[in-house]
Formats: sequence, structure tokens, C-alpha cells
Amino acid sequence: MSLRQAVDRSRAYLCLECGICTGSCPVSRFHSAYSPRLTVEKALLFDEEESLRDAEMWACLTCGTCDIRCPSTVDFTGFMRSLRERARQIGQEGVCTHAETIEAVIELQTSAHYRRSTSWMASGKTVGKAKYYYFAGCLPFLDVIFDDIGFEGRRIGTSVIRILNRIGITPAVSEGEVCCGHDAYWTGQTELVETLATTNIRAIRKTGAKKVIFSCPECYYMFKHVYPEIVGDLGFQPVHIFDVLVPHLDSFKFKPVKAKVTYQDPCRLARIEGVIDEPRRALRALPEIDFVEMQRIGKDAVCCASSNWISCSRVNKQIQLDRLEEAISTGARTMVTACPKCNIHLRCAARDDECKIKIDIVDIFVLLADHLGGGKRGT
Amino acid sequence: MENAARDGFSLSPGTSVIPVRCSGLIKVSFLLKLFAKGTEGVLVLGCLEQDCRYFNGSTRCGQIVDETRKILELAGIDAAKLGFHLISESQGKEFKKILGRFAKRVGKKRRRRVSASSSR
Ligand code: SF4
Ligand code: SF4
Repeated sequence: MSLRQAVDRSRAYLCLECGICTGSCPVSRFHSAYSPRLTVEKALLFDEEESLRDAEMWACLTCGTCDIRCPSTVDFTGFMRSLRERARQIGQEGVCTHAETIEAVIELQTSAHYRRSTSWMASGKTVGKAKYYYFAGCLPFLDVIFDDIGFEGRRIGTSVIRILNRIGITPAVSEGEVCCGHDAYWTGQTELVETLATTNIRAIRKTGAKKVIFSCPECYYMFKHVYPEIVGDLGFQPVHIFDVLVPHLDSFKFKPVKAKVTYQDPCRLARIEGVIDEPRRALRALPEIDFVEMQRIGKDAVCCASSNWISCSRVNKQIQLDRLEEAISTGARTMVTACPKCNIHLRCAARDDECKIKIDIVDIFVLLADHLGGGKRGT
Repeated sequence: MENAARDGFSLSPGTSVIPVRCSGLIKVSFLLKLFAKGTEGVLVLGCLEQDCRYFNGSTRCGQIVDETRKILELAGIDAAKLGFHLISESQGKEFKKILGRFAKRVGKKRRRRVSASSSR
């Protein structure tokens, strides 16, 4: 896609130069050289070379805050994505974090002898064919990679399965499942996304599932918005676990949680999907919980400040420490989130020497599953 | 490896050597990408821990291999296809044995084997 097409498609030509995007951007706040407004202005000069070589383009978190605040409805993240796609064609790319481990895991998943293990899910009930499918995504791999910071990805997956089992759903899982391609999508790797999407669709269709359940907001986003653009009709409906879970909350009879907790809204789930009330209802269903809100919540929540496994710098750490401080100032010492990535990135920052007061980062499905009481089973 | 070569040892066809300055420099991504490209087995060879001239290179390499093996298992690839041995440069015979045993373990269906080793 040329720069002109990127401008046209994202409506960047409507830019009023108001600067609301830059004023809202978490990156710009700590890194003055980065400005979405300036990126748009530069693009409108149509100097493609200059735009594509701008290293700052890889600093965008694609959090979407600017998108929802722009008075001219400029789709900045869409613009950024097209720009990155084009930049990759001339050999530019972002700096991979974690020594490219995650990139390599994705590459491994596209190789011929890849067959994902499902045995780690054994503590819950799963099958090969069913009406519902559970898409675990990269959870087991992230579990291994971020073991050093105490991230338990597999526990998130098994917690989701336990919750589903309690509702009466025995989901199908598949050895043919691969990464959803979310990060490849936002870093402009179109071909890789297509490969991953078609592989996933093939694997899921084999299970005969009509509804595919997601716990990861990013996987959910991909299946809901991007996959249909690639393959057309999916042949099944992507649903977020909250949609399945919330109607059953009353029947769960949770055990009490004697803690003060706050909730971090994931960008994809809150800002893009508008799933804001559901996680809060789930948390409030836990008896004795002292749930407190941070100042910036819902669509105004601050991104966990690292995305697509690129560009993790001092700036990102500052955004995270600032967010943790906001959480700590509520008096809560537990921050619950519904996204494995928020969990990893904020957990990493919480272990930084500069984070003076200790705060635990806990996954919402782990918290809920660990407090399941002896409630009734049924659909 | 040069010591082993002096004993009349040569690598079997289909095996390639990737020299690295220190086994501690090997990354998980590097090993995974070899498997992604269809390599049947990867044998990582490093110096004995007490011989490391960068302090903890071999120990670090052991951790990297552990992490990679866990990822391979999750991806349905037998972790035994990633071998790991620490040997000293004087152990030419031992080297031969390790390589022989590893080749057997990786099996007949191998297409390409690579041994990554530190260059001492
Ligand atoms: S908020 Fe929208 S109109 Fe304002 S500077 Fe940014 S892109 Fe332009
Ligand atoms: S998407 Fe987020 S990080 Fe990127 S420019 Fe917009 S507000 Fe900044």
C-alpha cells in the first residue's frame, strides 16, 4: 500500500492539526520526540522516504486512544499499520524485544512438523469435537518465556476451561491451532497473518465448533475484525468468555475474596470492543471483595505500554510505573486484568526497583476459577 | 572438534557446524528458528562451566537450552532433538561419542542436523 493509499484509507487528510492525539498519547507524554500529530503532518507532505524511515513509527503502542479522541475521525492506528507494512517492504522494522523469542515461536508454529500440545489443559475437560471451541492462543508459550517473572499462562488457560466446565461447556481444543497473528498484523506482516489465519480456521472447522470462545482480547479482536477480511465467512461465531460467563455469575456461589483490588482495562477489550462493565460485574460477584477504580478507566484507560513485542524502552517502563502508581494510590495491592499481555508487562514493571510499593498482578479468570464454590452445574 | 578431526573423525553428511564465540550467546530464538526451518536435531556444545572465560556463559546456555526444550515440547517437537553437552577441548574422543549418540537418538528420518558449538 502506498503512502497515498494509507492516507486515503485512514482519512488522515481530514487532520485539523489540533494535537489532541499527541496530547492523549501515553508515549508522547514521556517521549517528546514522538507525536502522532507530527506523523500525520509529515505523511501529508507525501515524502514517502522520510515517512517510512522514521524510526519513531515503531514506538506507537496501537492502543487506539488517539483514534477515539480525534475530532476528525482519523484512523491513526490503521494508518500506522499501513505505514509499517510499507516500511517492512523497504527493509525497515521495529526492534524486537525478548531477543526475538516470540517471533521465533510464531515461526515455529508455521513449520510443517508443528503440532501444539494440548496435554497442559488436562486439569479441565476438553474434547476434539464440540459445539464450542476454546482458543488458548499463545498462553502456554508465554508461560515458559515469562516464567522468570512468575507469569502463569497455562493457569489462565486451565482456569478458563474450569469456568467453562462449570457452566456445562466442554470445549473442543486442537493441536492444529497456531498464534492468532495479532502482533504480526500490527507490525505489518500481512502474509504471515494470512498463513496463521487460514491455519487456525482450518483447525477450528475440523472440530465442528459453531462458537469459538476467547479469553485473550487480542485473539478475539483478530477473529472478530481481521479474519473475516481475509477468509470471508468464518463458519463460526467468535465470542468473548465474558459473554458466556456473565449470565451465570449468580449461580456460581463464589468463595469470598478478602482483598482490595483494582482493574486494568485492556485496550482491545475496553477501548475497541467496549467490554467495560462485564469484568467489573464478574469482580463484584466475588463476596467481600473491595473493588476500587483507578482514575483512568474504560475507554480512557492507559495501555500497559508495550505491544507487539517491539520497542520496550525506558519510555515504556515510565508509562507502566506511572500506571502502577495510579493503581497503588487507590489503596489496592492487587491489580486484576483480563489480558495476558497487560499481565506480563505490568508484572515486569512491578518488579522494577522504581516500583516502591508491591502490587500483585492477577488474571481475572484465575481469580474467578480459584474462588469457584460448590455452585450448581447447568447450562 | 579439531582435536577429534586429528583422530581421523569427520562429520557425517547433512551435518553442519555453526561456530559461536561463546555458548552463552546462543538465544532461544536462534535454536527455535533452526527447528522451524526443518532441522531434525540441534546439538549444542559448550565449554565446561569452570572453563568459561566470560564467567557464566555455559550456565546461561544451559538455561537457554532448558527454556527452548520446554517450548519445543509445547510445539509437539521431541525435546531430545535438542542435545546439550559441556566438554573440554581435550576431550576429542568424548566428543566423537556424544555426536554418535546424538545422531542415533535423532533418528533415521533426519534431513539436516546442525551442531552449534562454541569455538574453542
Ligand atoms: S487528533 Fe486527529 S485531527 Fe487532531 S491532530 Fe491528531 S489526527 Fe489530526
Ligand atoms: S495508538 Fe496509542 S500509542 Fe499510538 S499514537 Fe495513538 S495514543 Fe499514541
